[in-house]
Amino acid sequence: MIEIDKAFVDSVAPNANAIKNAHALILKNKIIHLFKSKDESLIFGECQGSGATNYYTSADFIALEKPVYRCTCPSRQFPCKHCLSLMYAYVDGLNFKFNSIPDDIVQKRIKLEKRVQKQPGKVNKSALKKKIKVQLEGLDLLETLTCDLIRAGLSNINAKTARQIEDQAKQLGDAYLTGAQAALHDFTHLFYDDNDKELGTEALENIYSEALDRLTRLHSLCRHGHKYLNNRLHDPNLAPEINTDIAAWLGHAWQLRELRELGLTQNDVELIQLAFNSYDHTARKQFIETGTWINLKNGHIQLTQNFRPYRAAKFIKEEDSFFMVAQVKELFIYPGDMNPRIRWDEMLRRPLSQKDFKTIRSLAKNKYGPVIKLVKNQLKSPLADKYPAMLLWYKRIGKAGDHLVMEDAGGEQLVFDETQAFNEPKSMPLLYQIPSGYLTDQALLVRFFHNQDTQKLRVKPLSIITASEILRLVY
Amino acid sequence: MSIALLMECANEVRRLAIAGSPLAVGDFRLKRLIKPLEQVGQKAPIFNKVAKAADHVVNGGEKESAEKLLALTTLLNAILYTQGQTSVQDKFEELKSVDMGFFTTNTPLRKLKPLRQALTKTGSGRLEIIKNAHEDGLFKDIRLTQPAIQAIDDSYREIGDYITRQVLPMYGKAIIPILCQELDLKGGRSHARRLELIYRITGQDAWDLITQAIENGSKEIKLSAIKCCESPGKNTDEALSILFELSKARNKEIRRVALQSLGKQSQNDKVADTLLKVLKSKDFELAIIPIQKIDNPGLIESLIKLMEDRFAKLFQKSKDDNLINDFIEMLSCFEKRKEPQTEAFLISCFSKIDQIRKIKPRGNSYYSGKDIYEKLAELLLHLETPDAYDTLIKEHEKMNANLLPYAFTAAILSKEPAFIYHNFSPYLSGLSKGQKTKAKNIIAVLEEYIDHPSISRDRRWMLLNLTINEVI
Repeated sequence: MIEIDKAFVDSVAPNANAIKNAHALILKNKIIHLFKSKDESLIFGECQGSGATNYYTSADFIALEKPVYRCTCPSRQFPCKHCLSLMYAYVDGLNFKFNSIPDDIVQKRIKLEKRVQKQPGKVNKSALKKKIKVQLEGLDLLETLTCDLIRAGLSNINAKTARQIEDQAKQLGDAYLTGAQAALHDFTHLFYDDNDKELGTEALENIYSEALDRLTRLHSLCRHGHKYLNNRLHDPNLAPEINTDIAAWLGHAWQLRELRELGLTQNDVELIQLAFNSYDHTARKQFIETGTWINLKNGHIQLTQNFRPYRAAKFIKEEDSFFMVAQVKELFIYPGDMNPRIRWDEMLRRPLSQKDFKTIRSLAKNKYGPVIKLVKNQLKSPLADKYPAMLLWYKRIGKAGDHLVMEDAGGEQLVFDETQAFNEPKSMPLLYQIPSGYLTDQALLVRFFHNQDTQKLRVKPLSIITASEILRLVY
Repeated sequence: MSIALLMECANEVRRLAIAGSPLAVGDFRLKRLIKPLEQVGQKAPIFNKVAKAADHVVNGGEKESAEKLLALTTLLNAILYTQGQTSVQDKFEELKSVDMGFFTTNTPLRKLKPLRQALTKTGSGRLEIIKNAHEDGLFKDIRLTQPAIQAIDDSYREIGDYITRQVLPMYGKAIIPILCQELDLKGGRSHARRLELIYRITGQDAWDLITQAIENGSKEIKLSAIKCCESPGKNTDEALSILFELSKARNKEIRRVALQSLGKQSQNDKVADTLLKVLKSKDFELAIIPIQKIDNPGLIESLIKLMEDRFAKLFQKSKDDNLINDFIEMLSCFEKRKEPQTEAFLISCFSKIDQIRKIKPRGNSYYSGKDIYEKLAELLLHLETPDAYDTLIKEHEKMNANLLPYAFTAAILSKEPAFIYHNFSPYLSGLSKGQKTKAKNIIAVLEEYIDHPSISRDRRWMLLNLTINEVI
């Protein structure tokens, strides 16, 4: 029996348009000949398209953790709107007749079973050396650019020059330094607004501290990058660094196989998404979707990241808020700081239970002192993630003067602030709109940030976890 | 640790980074910090490092100034990141939150984000997104409260109106503090929406605000506040006295809205007197809409008496060029009215068809007796009574091509098919120029009524028959 519901189909859809189009196909009765296999592991049918023959579409749940969606239509989206409409029809309770599994699907299933994990090819050492040399040259270019910028002064940078720097940043991409290129884009992005317009004098004044911090980060990246790449150049057998995320900063795209070989995996993990955000990064020309999850096994806050470059955005699945428990057999953890990036290939899903809320709440940190120390320790490193997320317990939330604060059982306070936008909607006004019961003795996911101008460490509230629900204040 | 010293140093570094690193060489403001840093460095060695890095910047060459300044910044930032203040000194107070009564935060981003953007950004197709979301109940998500309130100010007027009338009332009293805080009595249309919304949600509790808005508000706010006086609840007396006063205001728009609000108080004789007084004045058009809706026997009687006088004047010599236009406009008072007195008046006027026809335009006025006659025919048709229909049908032979459709429509709505066929089919076989126009107008009515749901099957056949005959 295939146990799927509307939420499941919504969640596997590549984007909102595909959902809309799939519903339209059902309304227009375009989906015909609905069948299911006798063991109820496969649903299949035909869908009328614009061509002379119908499209044959199917959703195969023989492996529940990794369903396979097939369709004869030319779409590059998986599942396509035809396959989605087939699943919506199934969820809506339309009549699916029993039928034997089509031969081509039987063949495809056999082929899938036989597929053996590809053995890693031998590393071409001379090619690797050549690549490292190009990267080193790229780092030289970045260093020169960074020094030129500080020499000319930040006051000489405007929206136009920022765009010119972005053009130069293309050379970093050519030098296999995509991470450094992204960091440079993060810097230039400060100098124009969402509408690509010039910033006003006041706005410019407000970004200088942040801009200087990002420049020092680029400078540190050059220094650490040189050291790391030179080490690898002299020892080509040397594996990428895993104690820090310098490899990712330099643009290393970690393969799951590599992570497995380096032991950066965790088995049989359950994860719950506590917050989510999607952001259109106009400088990087890509959509970035970030999920903030709690690992129920060890309580770590980990991040999923989905990058969809503009030019391929249509063909990459747009991630969405996830309201269930993800049961992951093999979790891959990237090298990183407090909130490392995670990925998985296969997962099952189940609804949240009271026990899960209890578990999440038990994983919240009770005392702010050690947490603050931990956060500050991370922040001091130039290449560290400057916005770590943590799950904290609060005794109460209230006001202190003009500030909103959260307080632990020992009376230690953390002050809420969201002057740093994080490209997320404001969450603090929502604290005034929730019942007072939610303001005492709950767990709260927060994002730390250090305000460079005021030298204050502040937090932005993201999600409140009560005994029976997750109150998402952002997405 | 002397954080103030470090912060001062960081500020100097920031200034130099903005201005350009070559200016850091020999910079006296940074230079004067080196000694104090070294002094503190005797106790805390990290300050020595900072002093040394600052010294490299100040006493280095211009060529390497960028790198030295970045090194100093990196060091300073690393220290300052560990010194961020976390708490405040103020006393803890409880947060006074307003319970919305309902809330959910289970809307996925793929639905929530486009909606949030539709409410806060500009562009086409946004109203459709907002309407669909409202129908799907998405506004129960508390994360949409703020963007929805923000949409009151939307540059696209329809969005502001839709949000104010359809969406925001569901949040109830929880949003009142925000609305009151944002309300500017001197503001424009969007603030008028806020005022209307506050009154709609809180009713009597906002009466003081309404009176204040009438007294001190901008024109938009005033108009909005006057509309709120339509349902004053326990403050009826006060509202009436305000409205009576405003019905004499200098601004015509304010007088118009005040009279319309007064029109809601049908039973009040003073209201009837006021409206009649305005109807007799130069600005009589302001009273037309309120009079159309008012249900006051005294007023009807006076209105008919006034109109009879005006009707009689049409046949007398007068220097007033606007007499005909004014009479036609004033006849609009009878739109939507269906009392027997109205019917009797209109029928009596209509029966004088021959005299009315002879009335010629006066002065520069464009209107003549034909226009009066057409207006009367229109009002009679809208009465929807057998006598009114009969009056129209009886005169059909005397009617010109413009008026004939009224008689024909009355026949379709009230007479047997045989009667209609017998009396009106001859119009469809006319050959002369004037008759051809009549035939055309009859066909136009046929086209309108042939698919009309109120028409029975038999009648439809007869109409089809008439049409076919014409075609043959």
